[in-house]
Amino acid sequence: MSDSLFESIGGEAAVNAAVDLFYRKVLMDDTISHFFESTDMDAQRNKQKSFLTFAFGGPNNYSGKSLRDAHTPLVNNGLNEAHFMAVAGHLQSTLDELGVPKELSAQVMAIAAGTIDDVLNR
Amino acid sequence: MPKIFFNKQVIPFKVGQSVLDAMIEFDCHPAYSCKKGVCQTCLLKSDDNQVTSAQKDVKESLIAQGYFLACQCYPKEDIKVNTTDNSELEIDTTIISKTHISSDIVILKLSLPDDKNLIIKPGQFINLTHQDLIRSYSVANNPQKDNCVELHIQKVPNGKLSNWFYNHAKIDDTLKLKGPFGSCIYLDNDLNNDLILIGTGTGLAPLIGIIKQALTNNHQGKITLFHGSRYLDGLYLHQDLKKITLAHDNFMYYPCLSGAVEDKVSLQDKNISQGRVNKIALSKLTQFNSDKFYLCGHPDMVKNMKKMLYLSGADLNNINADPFEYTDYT
Repeated sequence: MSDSLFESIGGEAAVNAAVDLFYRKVLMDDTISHFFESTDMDAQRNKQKSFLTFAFGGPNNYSGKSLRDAHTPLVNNGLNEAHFMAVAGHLQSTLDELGVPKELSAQVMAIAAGTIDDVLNR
Repeated sequence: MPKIFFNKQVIPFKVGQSVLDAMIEFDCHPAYSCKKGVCQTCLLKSDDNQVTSAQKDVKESLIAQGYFLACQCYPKEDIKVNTTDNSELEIDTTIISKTHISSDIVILKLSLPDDKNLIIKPGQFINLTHQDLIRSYSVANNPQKDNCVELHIQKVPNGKLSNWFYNHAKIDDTLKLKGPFGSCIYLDNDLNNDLILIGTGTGLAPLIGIIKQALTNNHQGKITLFHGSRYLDGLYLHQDLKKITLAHDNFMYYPCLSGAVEDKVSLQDKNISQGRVNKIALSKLTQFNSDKFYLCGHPDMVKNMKKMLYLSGADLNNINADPFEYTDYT
């Protein structure tokens, strides 16, 4: 199931097309950019790539625990549901801009939404 | 069974096994994260051509130095690999010339240690040790060509080593050199690309090294340098750079002063722009897609510029950044 989503959406090429659109949107959003501004933007961009690969149903090493641990410092810095929804909004508009069909983008958004408890450490 | 030669260890592996998995199995504790060729945590170095298939999405400037992803590398025969910090040896070097070029910047030339394995490229940096103090300095020339290493050292407040260099260091003093490090280097296959170089203060050192190498290489694309300083004295290569613009049609130089203008000279010099170098650079640049960027100097300038360039459409892989991080040890 998840393999077929990754294939239908265009696989690795889709991730590569999406990553800069997505990361630029996030960086330009003053309400959340401070969570993503790192001294190492290259590493940050690679993290966005891993996330998109996961959300597009691709092969990944994401585990609930690693997601949780990775976001703990951000939660301690005030990361909340509004921030999560803002990022989700940028993901949706990235998919729309790339012309991803609704039935596929709905699946991507569902995978992303499924991370909310781990991301917010709830 | 073929073997991986890693530093001083010999690691056997099965054909079909990745370099990373072989190292994990052998308890080498390599750094890694995703094992999918994405996160680039497991970068290693090798000059073996069995690594070429494991260099996807690795920055060109890193590929030029032999970096590859251990998790994506499936060698078929013996292979020699190194950790990225391959320069564990300290080598003696001596000061061969010293020029005070401004009220707080000194240009030092060091002897190039006689070691065939030591290849220092302009724009990289080295660590120097003197009386247990270790500091990093960027290389401002092509050491292999000039047979010496040129450094531009700015005295910083409470800076023990920079003050020693400026005030006390003498010709023939010996230092320990370690390195080189860093990937702010000129690449031969960028011959036709436009190069944009932006630096503050002695961030000019690696940039001038890269520029000189590009010009020696008969670079075909445009080369544009933005150099920022608070005061005129900090535009310490102003006259030299003006001469280079006269000699090379494809080289442009924009000196920028961000401090209050007190002296008439800088007002009269029409080449000099008033304002912060990152703002001036952004106002002059028109397209970002295929250019190669080099950013060196003040960490805030480097970080801000990298973000602004990326948001303007530059590819992160085309941005080489070297923030001069500074720690006040007092």
